[in-house]
Amino acid sequence: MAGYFKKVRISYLLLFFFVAIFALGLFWGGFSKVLANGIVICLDCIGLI
Amino acid sequence: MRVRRWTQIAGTLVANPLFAYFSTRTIYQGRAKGICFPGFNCYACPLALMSCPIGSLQQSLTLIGPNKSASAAGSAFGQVARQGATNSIGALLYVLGFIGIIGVVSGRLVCGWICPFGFLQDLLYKIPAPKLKLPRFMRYGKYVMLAVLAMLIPYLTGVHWYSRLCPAGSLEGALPLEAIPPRASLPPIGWFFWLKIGILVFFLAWMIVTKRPFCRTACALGAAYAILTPVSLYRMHVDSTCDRCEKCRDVCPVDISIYENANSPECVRCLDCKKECPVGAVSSGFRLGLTGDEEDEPLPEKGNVEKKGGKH
Repeated sequence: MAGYFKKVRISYLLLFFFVAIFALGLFWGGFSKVLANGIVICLDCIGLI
Repeated sequence: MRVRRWTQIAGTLVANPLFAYFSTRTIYQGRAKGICFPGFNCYACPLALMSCPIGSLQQSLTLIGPNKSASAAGSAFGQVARQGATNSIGALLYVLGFIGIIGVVSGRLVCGWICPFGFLQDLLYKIPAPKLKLPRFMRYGKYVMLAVLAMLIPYLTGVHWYSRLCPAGSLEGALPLEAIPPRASLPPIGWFFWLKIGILVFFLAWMIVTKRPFCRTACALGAAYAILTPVSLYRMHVDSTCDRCEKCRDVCPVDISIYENANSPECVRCLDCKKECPVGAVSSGFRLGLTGDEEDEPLPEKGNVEKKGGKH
């Protein structure tokens, strides 16, 4: 089993990892937080600070 | 016109489709702003539909860092959206996961095919002018931008400095909003605004004389994708018929020779080299085998290859 996992492409392990943290973030309110940040004009972005 | 130009135009329009702003003068506040656009596009742009992943990444880090209070000053206008760090870790995971998925699946394919800022650089480089090469060491600048300016400093100081200096913000956010302000008034212009405009002018001038200087030296999103490009499922491959004529480098928007490293972190997978290769040595596609047994076959040494023309 360990030998099999050694041979599995790291691409798939990373993909699984990123899908997992994406899903966790989504479940943990990440979408609404990014939404809340995204609906305002970022004054840093436009230099009006 | 090439297919890639059309996808770049489409990418720019998908990222910035809200032309109704010109009549309503109201910033879009719908749910699509909760989705990150995979390319480099400022979400302060009045036409922007989606969020900037690097802006969202910084925002998440400022809110979980030790200096949270600093982030409340100077970042929000209109609805104040600071809700503390309660779900900022969720946002951080959401954004990191999003960037990681794009990077692992396609590497920097997005940079070459749909990124609006990459598209701008491709267009500006077509302006006739003396052209300059980029010193090789400068390519590491983008990783410093990602690690320090877009992650470490926002986390420690509570201020997203990458956004503050970002030329895309000046071009897509600052200038349109100052030219056609929203109904709600903006704060007055100060010296920092002009600093940002100066950075923008510098990069625009550089884009005319050098191939994609922002992508290669300063793009934090490109750096994140670049880290994952060598292990991405989408692969480039150069076979042994390559005679190293350097035609690939001539047409490459990031000035690399694809035969040196087919899956180079610098490569934006525009596939211009594949199209222009005189011997058809370059191929690409998704390699979906479950194990890592199928490695790219190594190229023979330059001296052992029969030269088939081109400059060497």
